[in-house]
Amino acid sequence: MRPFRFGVALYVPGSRAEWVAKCRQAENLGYDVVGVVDHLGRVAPVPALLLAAEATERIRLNTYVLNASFHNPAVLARDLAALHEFTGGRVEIGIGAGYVREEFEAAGIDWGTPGRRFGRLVDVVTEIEREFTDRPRPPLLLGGRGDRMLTFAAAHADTIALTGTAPGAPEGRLALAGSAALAERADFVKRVLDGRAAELNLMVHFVRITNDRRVALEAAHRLVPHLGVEELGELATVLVGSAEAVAEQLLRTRETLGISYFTVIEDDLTRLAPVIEKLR
Amino acid sequence: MTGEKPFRFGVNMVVPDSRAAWVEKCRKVEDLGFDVLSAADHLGMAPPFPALVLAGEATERVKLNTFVLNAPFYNPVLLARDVTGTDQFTGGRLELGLGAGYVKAEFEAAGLPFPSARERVDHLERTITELKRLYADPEHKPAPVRPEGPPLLLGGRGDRLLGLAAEHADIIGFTGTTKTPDGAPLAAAAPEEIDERVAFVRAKLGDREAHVEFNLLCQFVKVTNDRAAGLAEVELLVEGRLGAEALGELPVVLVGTPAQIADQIRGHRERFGFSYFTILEMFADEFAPVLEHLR
Repeated sequence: MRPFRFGVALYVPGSRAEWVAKCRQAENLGYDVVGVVDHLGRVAPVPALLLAAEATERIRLNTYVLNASFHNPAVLARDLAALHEFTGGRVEIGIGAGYVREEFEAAGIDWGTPGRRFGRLVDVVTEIEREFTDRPRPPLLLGGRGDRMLTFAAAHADTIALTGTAPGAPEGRLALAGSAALAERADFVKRVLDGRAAELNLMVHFVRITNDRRVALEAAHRLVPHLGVEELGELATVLVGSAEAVAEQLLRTRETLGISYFTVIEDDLTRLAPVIEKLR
Repeated sequence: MTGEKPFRFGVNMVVPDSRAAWVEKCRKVEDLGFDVLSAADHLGMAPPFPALVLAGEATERVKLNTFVLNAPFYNPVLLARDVTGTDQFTGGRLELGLGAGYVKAEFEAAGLPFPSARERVDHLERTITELKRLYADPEHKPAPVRPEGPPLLLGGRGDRLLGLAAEHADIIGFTGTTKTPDGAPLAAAAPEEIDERVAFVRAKLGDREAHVEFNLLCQFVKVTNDRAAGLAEVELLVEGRLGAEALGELPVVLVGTPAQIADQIRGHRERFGFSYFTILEMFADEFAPVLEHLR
């Protein structure tokens, strides 16, 4: 069984001082990885990770995840190689195929078909593999949901990231996959890995450390109306309960789904900290 | 008016792969008294934005400049995020230099077609327009440190590029090069040609000239008590295309004692309006005594 790792995906842009403080806080709270998202209106990933490295001592740094369509493969490979060198090898490269159509349109980048977006991801991964042919490549995380994406990830990635989402949520609602759908995706990954060792990551969408579990689950249910309170209480992407109970839940998830690396979003940065402490 | 602009001196750096080596170089440039530290943008070299964020962490006051960004490598909307993000992370010390791109081999390496000069300038113009639009958009995040965005440096030689610079730039970078076929190696321009380029820009600038800085990239520096011998050395470098005397007149070639070079620089400010000089990193140590004569 793999050791736990905990990451946080930061996204709120701000001043140098704010960014430095946030990265140090993540390190001090015991996280293993500080990640940056790749969305318009959010932090600039490469400068942000460089500054994160300067501001911290040990925490690993990852792109969680780069939108392959946003970047020229050769230019991106150069940027990531420099980040790897400048941070003393603390970088982990996370890449996805992109999923927010409005951002493609705002940037004037062809949204295309899922096949086209997958093709761009393959181009980016190929270029990164080429960039590091003569030296150890930083760990590669590939994230997604579909069969094609996860099959490719199983062949190329050190870490395979499950989004925990389901297709087709109503506008403005969080499209979380239910327990069965999530387990099916984790099984699929194990099948296509075919014995190859890889770390499994899961994006955690909702964290509330509370003694009033019912109230917090009802709050989650309002965000995810297509899943009932009972199911949300069991779901690996929704962590609600006392620190002890959530720690138990993560142990179970690792046992049953084989997922050992959990990433929360910035809003939940401090919430998960007592749980991390219990699992060390 | 430009003759009275305060001097600034920058160093165009070669960015190494190692963090320690880069940090040391950046500190040294600041300690030598330079005002600006510049990073170029080429494939096969460390990229400018993370390099400048690191330079900002390693130093206190020098301005941090992309010299110059190869605009065709970037989607303007995503570039804006890197620009304003770096601007924030360096506390507003970023000076953004943009170019149209000129190294054909790098376009090939990036899997991009090598567009015509016209198309490259078109893209540069779109990039500038898009950056300014996004700086001005209160919804755009990260927000620039100053509402108008970081100072913009545009460098080049042709009419269209200098026209764009006259319209948009805070700093106009003159190359001191002559017209050569697209993609061919650069060659130095005679002083009269530079006069003509400067006059062209001044005519376009009109009243705006008072608010615009003229930059020159100097290709060669030799601090020596024997100016004639120094120029003879340059003559070998340019393979006899220009004689020592003509070379001595070029503003991109600075040869002599520190005091002589300081005089040359004052002369170039007087004649061409250049007040901001960028030298290559390999000459930074040698040039440092010149700075003392000009402060």
